Amino acid sequence: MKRIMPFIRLLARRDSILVVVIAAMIGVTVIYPLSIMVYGTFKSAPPGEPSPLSFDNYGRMFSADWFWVELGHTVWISIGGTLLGVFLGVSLAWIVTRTDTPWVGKLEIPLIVPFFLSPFIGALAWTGLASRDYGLINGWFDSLLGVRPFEVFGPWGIIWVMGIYYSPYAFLIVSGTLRNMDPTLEEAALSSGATKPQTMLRITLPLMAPGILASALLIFVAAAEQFGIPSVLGMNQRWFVLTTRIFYLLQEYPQDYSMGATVAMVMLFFTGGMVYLRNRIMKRREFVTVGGKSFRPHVIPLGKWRYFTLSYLLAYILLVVILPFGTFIAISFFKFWSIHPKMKYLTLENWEYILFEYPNTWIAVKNSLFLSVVGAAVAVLISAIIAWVVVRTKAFGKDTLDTIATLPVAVPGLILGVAYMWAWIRSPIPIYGTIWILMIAYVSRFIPYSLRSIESTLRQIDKTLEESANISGASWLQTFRSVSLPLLKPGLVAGFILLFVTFMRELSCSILLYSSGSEVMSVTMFDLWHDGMFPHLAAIGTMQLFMTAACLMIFSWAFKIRITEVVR
Amino acid sequence: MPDVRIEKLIKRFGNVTAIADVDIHIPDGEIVTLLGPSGCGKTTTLRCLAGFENADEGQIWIGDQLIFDSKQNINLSPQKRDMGMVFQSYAVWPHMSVFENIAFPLRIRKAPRKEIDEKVIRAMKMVGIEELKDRLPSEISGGQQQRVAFARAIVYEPAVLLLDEPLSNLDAKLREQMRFEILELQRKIGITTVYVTHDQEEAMVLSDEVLVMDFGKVIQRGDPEAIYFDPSNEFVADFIGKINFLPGTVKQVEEGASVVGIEEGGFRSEIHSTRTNYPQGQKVLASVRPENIHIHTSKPDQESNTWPAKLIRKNFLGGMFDMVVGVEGKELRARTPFKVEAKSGSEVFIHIPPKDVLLIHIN
Repeated sequence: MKRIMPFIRLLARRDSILVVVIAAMIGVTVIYPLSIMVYGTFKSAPPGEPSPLSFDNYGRMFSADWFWVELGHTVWISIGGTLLGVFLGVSLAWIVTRTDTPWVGKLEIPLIVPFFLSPFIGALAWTGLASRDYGLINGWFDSLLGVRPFEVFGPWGIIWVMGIYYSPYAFLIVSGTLRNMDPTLEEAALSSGATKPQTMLRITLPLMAPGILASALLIFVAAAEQFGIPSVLGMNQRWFVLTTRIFYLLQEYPQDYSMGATVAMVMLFFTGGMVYLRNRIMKRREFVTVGGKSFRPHVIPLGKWRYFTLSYLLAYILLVVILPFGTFIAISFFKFWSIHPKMKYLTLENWEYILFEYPNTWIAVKNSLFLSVVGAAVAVLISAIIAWVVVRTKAFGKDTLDTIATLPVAVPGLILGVAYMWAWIRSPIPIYGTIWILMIAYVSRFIPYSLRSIESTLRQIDKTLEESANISGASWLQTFRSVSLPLLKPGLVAGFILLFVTFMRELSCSILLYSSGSEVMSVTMFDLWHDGMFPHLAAIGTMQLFMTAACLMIFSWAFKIRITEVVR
Repeated sequence: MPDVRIEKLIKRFGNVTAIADVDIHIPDGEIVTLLGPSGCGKTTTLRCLAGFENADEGQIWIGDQLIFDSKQNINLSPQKRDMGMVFQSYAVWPHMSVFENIAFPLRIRKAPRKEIDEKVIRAMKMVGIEELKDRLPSEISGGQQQRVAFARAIVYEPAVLLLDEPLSNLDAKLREQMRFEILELQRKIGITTVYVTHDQEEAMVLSDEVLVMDFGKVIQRGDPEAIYFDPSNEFVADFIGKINFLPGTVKQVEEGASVVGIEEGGFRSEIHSTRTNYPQGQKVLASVRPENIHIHTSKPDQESNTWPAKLIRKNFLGGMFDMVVGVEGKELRARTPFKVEAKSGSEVFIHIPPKDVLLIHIN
């Protein structure tokens, strides 16, 4: 008894109770469903029905040709998307931070817009530009040269769309590295006799390496777990990757839940391994390159070439934002879309149908808004509490808590959907098919992102600020509310906005978990796509774009934060 | 080793003039300090010298080579200036070992492998870090990084060495030690050196010549003793060491002696000085360093420059007494290493030897 007492006293501390409660919550929302899914891979019957356990599913999967082909596809598009995304991101970052390209200041906002755009809509929009049958660009080539050189459906289109819509990650990470790099590191090389290109190659580039590597691994995982892009650009052509295969196994008759879970396991190992690798490499290669006093970083005068770099930036904005999204919005006003869209097909009928007749529109709008605003707020609140416990307290088991809470980073949204299906489709708790299961999935899947940003903000706030509140009599709750929370505000707001945008466009979790009444906008678009109602889905997508933009403006005004600060 | 000449240098940032028409000459093999408060233009001057900032006007010469001239559009890039620089942040490259950091300038110069090894080892020995050869910068202390930066700056035997507040990130004890080491090294190599600092003690210890800067101008130049004992104006006197100012007017000038009439608060008196650098009628500050105010418990023999005073405060700093004495309402700072018997609050006499009364003109 005597030996147990200190342990009980430790547990009885409020922060320790908090650890237990949060850990239990994550246990129920992440670990339990994943375990049920793992269990399911050994079954031959659907969830909730008894069946003998065996390795049959694995045997069937590993001996199937489609599995190896589609695993290859997944690796192929992930590598392709990563190479393109990193190349675009790094080149943009370098141009923006290190050259005297004109208008760079003015282009700052347009360059981060792609970060907020939905890659799923991006894929849909690009079909309107580069589909061989009805792509606008093919139309231009057709009338000029009589050829239609592009086809967005298939692997190259998938790689293209992934590369351009994931390039902002590389752009933001690498330009951050470049901005924070102590300029004297480069000056030291210059004054020891190195030329600018030599300095670039031997000092700047190696110092950028951790940032480049970090963004490459990030994009690689994101590309591998992407569902929206390969579903639009591959599934109808029966060009599958693992995510679309899982979806197909679970949705097409006859559904094979066990095989779905088994392929999901492979995905889980794949992304888990990559995330583990990323953490290992990042831990080893993190350089502190932030110096004391800083002069502005060295800008390379490009001479005439600066007009080339300017055109590069403008071309990027044109191809990633203006052309596809302009086309997408335009499509919503056409009865038919073709390589030569005709004025006589201009119509408001799609909008009439979507706004007044289609039954799911307003349900989806309501659900999307609710999930994004409330879900993001809940996730940020929980993240803030976890971050505070982890960074500031000596609570029992806080490091374990940190690890568990970060775990979902390695769980693709679609896989979490599969796990939730397995865990709750036949559960006595009537949660499956409601909007709450989406809420839980969103929050637990994306807590790691807000957690990381809030933790790093919190670490930068000097502990003595809180200690002086303590010493003047404030309880831990009062301290959190009156000192920590206000100081954390920028981090919290940034986390909230990022999650809001992510939830607004979420597709891969929702597509498996929605049912009648809990549709969200992306799901509605997905349905309309498969019913061949492109102009109608373009109307809903346009609504989604403008709703997101309007909300961003409202948040930015209400919380007094610039959108460019959000992504820093 | 060549000398360095900066002529009529002007640098503006927007409408702020960072350097206002500065002339500096650093003789061959000497170490010259640019000293001044932050924002005085000293670092900008150094960066113009290094080539990281382009001055708007002026010329810079190394020996008989013109490396910068605004009029002829001559502007040698930093890597061609043959200078070594130690940065305040050390700027030791985090992705290279200590050895690689120091070898970098030689590799750039395509030195043969054997020569690189030899020179790097020699430089490491010189700064006392040969045992750190294979460490990464993250694995060594700030003081050691500082030594790496130093070795890297001298390993290729540049013509000029630039030091930008290299000691300001070190703790006090190490800082004091490094001053002597830097001086010793500089003497050993005999390299022409420009040293930027805001720390007057550092400047005193290290320099052949000190240039005190303020608002982008060189206010006074001279060897450390001249700067301390003969400050040319109020700013320098006040910035270097501690000083008491007694504003007044020169009443009488004769062979080897001036008499200044002081009028401040209740303190109306005459003070004698051996300086005769100002004519009768000139408004001046009679300036006295705290260590030159002598405290006596009984009336001293000297008649002139002696006043009854009150010992307002006495603090023992360890090795010296720091005091405030009041003379007719005027408070003066006094210092002495000798034991002061008088207690705080007691009546004393102060005496200031006329040779220690400096005269500085009031603008």
